[in-house]
Amino acid sequence: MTTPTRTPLDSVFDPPEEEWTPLSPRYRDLKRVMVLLTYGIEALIIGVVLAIFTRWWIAAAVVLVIVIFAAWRYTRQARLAASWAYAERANDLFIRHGLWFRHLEIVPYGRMQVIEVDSGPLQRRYGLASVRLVTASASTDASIPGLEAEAAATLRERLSARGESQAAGL
Amino acid sequence: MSEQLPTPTTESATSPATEPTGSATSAPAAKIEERPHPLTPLAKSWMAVAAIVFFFARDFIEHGRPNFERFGIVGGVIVGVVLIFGVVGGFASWLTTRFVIDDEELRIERRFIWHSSDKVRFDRIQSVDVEQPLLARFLSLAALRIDVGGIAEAKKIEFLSRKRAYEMRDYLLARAHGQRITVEQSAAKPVGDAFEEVAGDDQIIYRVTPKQLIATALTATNVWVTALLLFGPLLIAVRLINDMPLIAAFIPSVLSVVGLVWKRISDHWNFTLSRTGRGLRISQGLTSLNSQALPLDRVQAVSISQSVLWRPLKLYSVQINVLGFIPGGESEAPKSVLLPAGTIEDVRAALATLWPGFDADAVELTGIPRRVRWLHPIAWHTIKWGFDDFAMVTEAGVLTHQRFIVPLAKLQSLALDQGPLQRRFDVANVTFHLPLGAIGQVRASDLDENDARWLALTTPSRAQAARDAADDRTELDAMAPPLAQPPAAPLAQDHLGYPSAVDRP
Repeated sequence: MTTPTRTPLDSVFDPPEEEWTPLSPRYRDLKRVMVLLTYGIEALIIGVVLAIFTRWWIAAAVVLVIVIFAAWRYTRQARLAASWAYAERANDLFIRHGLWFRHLEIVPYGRMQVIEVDSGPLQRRYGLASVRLVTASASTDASIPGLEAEAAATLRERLSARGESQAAGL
Repeated sequence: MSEQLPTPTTESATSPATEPTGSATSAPAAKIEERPHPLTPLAKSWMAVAAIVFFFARDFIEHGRPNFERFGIVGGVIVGVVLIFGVVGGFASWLTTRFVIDDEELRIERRFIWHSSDKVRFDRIQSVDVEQPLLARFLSLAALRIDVGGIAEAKKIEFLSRKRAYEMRDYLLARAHGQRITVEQSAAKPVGDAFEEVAGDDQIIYRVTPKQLIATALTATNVWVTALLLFGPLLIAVRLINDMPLIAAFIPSVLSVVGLVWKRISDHWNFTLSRTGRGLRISQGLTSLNSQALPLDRVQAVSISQSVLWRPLKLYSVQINVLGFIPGGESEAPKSVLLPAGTIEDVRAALATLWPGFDADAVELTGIPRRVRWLHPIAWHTIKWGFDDFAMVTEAGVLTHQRFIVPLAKLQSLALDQGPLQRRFDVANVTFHLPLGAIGQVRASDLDENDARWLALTTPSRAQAARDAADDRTELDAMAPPLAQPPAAPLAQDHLGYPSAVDRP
């Protein structure tokens, strides 16, 4: 077998024919708000606790570090959200995500047992929903966060139609 | 599941009912509901009785009579509570438990505090096990455990006389396989006894000798690593401090190591895999003799392991992932062990029993690329992967060398992932996901990234072909002698242009 030629970085995770479908752009906004919320609350609590029990400048330094880290995370959400994508192939579903730790999940339609569409309170404000595929395996990590609610519903219809027609026994 | 319904040969006049009809309207002939064996309360609550006896035995031996004043009110209350819950409760629950196993149905009724009536369809029974805990064994009793598969918990009937339990087990298994026989016909076949769970006409595939079991129990990786971690620092401390009291610190460590070894020995004593007239059976256990049916079609994956100390002993152990058994849950019978200790011949026999026609040794294995050997300085030469049309094979490990075999037909989903360090060296991992069980997933680590991509993209179609081949084959019935199944025809080049066998320089 001839040694295959080196392929560009991203294409290791690409399906051969189909195109990737990205998430809704509002997902990035949602994740940014989440970063602000979580790191903001964290900085507040840690800052107050440290200010009470130690010098004020220790608290200020720690809070500054947290703020810098949060700023980096904030700017990174755009690229992270862009790294999420899914592709519906003939017999299986591809879901890819990640920048540093790249992950591609391949779920055959016949193995899908349950297709869940969830929407948390923050997601609902942005009109988004997550689609999650459940198989018989606990290690299957196949969820697509941040789809437009309608797109999520139609995706679920398509997936369950394919899943039923290709259902495989355990 | 295909059910054959031959013309009933029984004298029973009632209509053949392989499924429970909701027709409670037709009053059946008076059902004989049985109680479990009268000695059941004793077998169940022996621990409570033993605790009370022990409580008073000390004083009794010292002074010749039980010393009530010492314990006063509180002691009396505690004893009273133990008596009520343990003994009286056990007696009451025995009194209010009935069951029916006859030609038509299997039903268990309980009326103690919680009323429940469990009716089990014969064809939904996955396996029937006979368990003999220690005291029950002395009393010649046994418990029947009926596994209905899926999420429902197993149903237990505690306790029956041993002979009756075996008879019921054989009868239920026969009915579960679709045979239409009556209870009397089933009872005519021979059964096992207290120490042997093998009837006359069974064919033993292999049996683990005590020598093998003890040798592997003492040298299993988890045992000697635990011993090293516990005793190493202690020994060093004793050396340095040279102080006797530290010896007392050894005792808990010794106990825990002894406990590990003992658990293994006592769980798997006399492990026997046999082919009976009704399927495959595993029987094992020293204090608690357990016998369970092995459902071949529910086995999802196999792992063959060898601790580094077993190399000179030339022994291996085989674990399986059985659908529906989650380790860590109620584990009265260690269901995920197919061979606790055996030679390579036993391993081959085990694999041949599970998957006749599949030759694990013939699968060609590829190692990791040279450039990433430094990521696994000790174990790089052991990490390998390979496949054929039937299964994926991966192996790894120096302290415990493990080889995983996953039939492609059982694959659920798979994942391809790559961390930042791996990306620098153009390698990736491929992980195969399996149903919940002892082996949750199998991973091939650090493949060259193009190989990883190719493997991830082509495995689903290969898995589909394997599933189709498995469906086309006549359902492998463990009752019949195994057919020598030829492996499915090899696939031609797929649309990516790669041939179906990977050969590496």
